[in-house]
Amino acid sequence: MNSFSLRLQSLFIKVFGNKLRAVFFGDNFFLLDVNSRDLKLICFFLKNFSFFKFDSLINLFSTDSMGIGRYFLYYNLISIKNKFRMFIRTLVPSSMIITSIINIYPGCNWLEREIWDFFGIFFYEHGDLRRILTDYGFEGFPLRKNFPLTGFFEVLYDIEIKAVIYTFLEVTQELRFYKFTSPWDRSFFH
Amino acid sequence: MMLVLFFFKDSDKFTKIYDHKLMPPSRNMMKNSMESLIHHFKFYTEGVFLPAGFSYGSIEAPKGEFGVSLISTDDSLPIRCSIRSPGFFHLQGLDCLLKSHLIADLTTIIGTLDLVFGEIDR
Amino acid sequence: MKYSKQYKSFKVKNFLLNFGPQHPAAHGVLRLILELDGELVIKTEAHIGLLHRGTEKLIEYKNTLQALPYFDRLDYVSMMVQEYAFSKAVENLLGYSINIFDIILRIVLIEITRILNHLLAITTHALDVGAMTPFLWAFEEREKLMFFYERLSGARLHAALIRPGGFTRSIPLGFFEELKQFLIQFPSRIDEIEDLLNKNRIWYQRLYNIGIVNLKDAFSYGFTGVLLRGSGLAWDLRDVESNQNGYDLFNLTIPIGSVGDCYDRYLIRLYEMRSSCLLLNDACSFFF
Repeated sequence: MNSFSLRLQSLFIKVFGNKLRAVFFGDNFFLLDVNSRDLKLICFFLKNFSFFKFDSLINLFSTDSMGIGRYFLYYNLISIKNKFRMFIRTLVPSSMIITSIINIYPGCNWLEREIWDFFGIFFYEHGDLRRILTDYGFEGFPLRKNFPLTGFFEVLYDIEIKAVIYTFLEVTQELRFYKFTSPWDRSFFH
Repeated sequence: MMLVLFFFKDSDKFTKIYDHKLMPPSRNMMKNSMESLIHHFKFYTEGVFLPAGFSYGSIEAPKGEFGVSLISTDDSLPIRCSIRSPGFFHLQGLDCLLKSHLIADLTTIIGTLDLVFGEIDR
Repeated sequence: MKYSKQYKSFKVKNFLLNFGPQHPAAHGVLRLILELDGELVIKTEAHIGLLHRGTEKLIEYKNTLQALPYFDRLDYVSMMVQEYAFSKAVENLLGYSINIFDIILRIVLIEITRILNHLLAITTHALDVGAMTPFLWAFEEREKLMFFYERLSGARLHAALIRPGGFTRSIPLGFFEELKQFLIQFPSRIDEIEDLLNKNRIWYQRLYNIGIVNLKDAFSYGFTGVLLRGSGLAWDLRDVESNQNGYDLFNLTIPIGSVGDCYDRYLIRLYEMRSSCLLLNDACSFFF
C-alpha cells in the first residue's frame, strides 16, 4: 500500500466514520459502497475536495444481479493528480429512479443514456434521456436478465413486399445454454 | 542470458504455464496423464472457474484508456462484462470540440479523434 | 418611409444537415445531425448504435475462453490490446500473476499493435483531409506487421493470442530476428511520411488551431490518451500503472503537446510510433 492510499483510508474513516463501507484492494484501487440518496453529494465532494480530486469519470455501468437488490451501478473515477482509481457502487432503489451526476461530470451524458437504454434505470435531472445504441423503435431493455439473448423481433427483407420488415423471431433451434459448474465448485459461504 | 536461451529453445516450457486451472495442458500430456485429461475436459467444457468478485483490467490502448470491468459470481460465466472504450467518450466530446468551426473542419476533427465504430457501438 | 415598405421581416432557421451513416469520411457508421449557420457548425448530435452487435450481452453467456475473440473484434485496428485488457481483468479477479517472459512478450505485442494503429490513424486522417499517398505507404508497413501476427497466431487480423494466463501458442524460433529486421527499416518509413506531411503548407493550415482541447473540459468529458497528452498533460497509463504492466523495465518517453490542436496530436502519434520502435528494440535485445 502506498502512502496515498493509507492517508486516504484514514481520511475516509475520519470524515465518514461508519456511514460508508469501503473495500480497499491494496494500492490498485478501492471500492466504495454508497446509498443512492447520498450519491450526488459524495460525487461532488470527491470531485472538488482538493485532497481527493477525482476529476475524471472513466466509466459508469450497471449490473443486473438476480439477488434481492437487483440493479447495481458502478462508477469508475480517477484522480489524475494522485494517480489513483476508485469505484463507487450503489444499489438502485426499486423505483428505478436515481439522480444524475451530469452537473458534476458532464461526461456521463451518453453513459446514462446507455444505461437507460439497456436497463431502464431513469436518471432524474439528466434532461435528455433517450435511446442511444438500440434501434429507433426498439421496445424493451436488452441487458436485463429476463430479456432473452435472441430477442423478440427480427429484421428481414421480404421479397414479396420488396421492403425491410420487422417480424416475430423464429429460431429453428433453441439457444443451448448449458451450465456445467458442479455444485462442489461453488462456495456456499460468501 | 544463457539461461534465457536454454528456456527459449524449449519454447513449450516457458510460455505455457502448468497451472491447469487456468491454462489447458499440452496434447502430449493430455494423452499420457489421467489428471491432465480431466483438466483438459473440464477446461474445454466448463471453462475457467471465476470466483465471486469484481475486477478491472485497463491498458493504454493507442486511442486512449481501454478498460474491462468484470463482475462474477462463483461460476464460469461472468455476470457482467462492461467495456470502457476510449472512442465513446471522444465522440461524446465532438460537440464541444466542433464549436465555432467550419464544416470542412469536421472531417479533420473526426480523423484526429481516431474513432473506430466497433468499440463505440460494441 | 419609402424604405420601410421594401423591407420584409423573415425568420431564419439554421440548416440541418445529415452527415449520414454512409459517407467516405465518417470512419465507419456515424450519423451526425449538424446544425449549420452557413458553413459554421452550431451544434452536432451523433446517432450511434448502427454497429451495435450486443457484445456485452453475448459475453454474459460465454466462458472466458469463448469470450476472448469478442475483444479482438471491438476495436478492429488494434486487436491485441483489448485481449490484453480482458486477460488482465480475469487475472486480477483470480489473483494470478504471470511470469516475466510473458509480461515482456505481451509488451512486445502491444507495441506492435500500437504501431499498427497509429499507421492507420494518421494516414486515414490524411486521406480524409486530402493527402492520399501516406495511406498507401502506411498500409504496406501494416502488411509487414500483420505478417508477425500471422507468424504467432495464424491469423492476420483477429489473433486470439493473449489469453488469461499467458498465450494461446508458444512463440516460434526466429521470431525476434525477423522483428529486428523490420525494426531496422521502419524508422525511415516514418521519416518518409513525415517528409510529406510535416512541413506541408496545406496540411499545416488544415490542422493548426483546429479542435483545441481545453484541459478542464477534457477531464470532465472522460477524455484519455492522445487528447489529454496533446493539451500538455503527461497522463499515460503505461507509466501510471507501470508496476502492474511491466513497463517499469523499459524507458518510456511520453510526448506531450502544447496547444492541444490537431497538429499536436498528429505529431504525438508520429512520435509514439518512434518510441514504440525503441521499446521493441529493447525488448528484442532481452530475448536475444
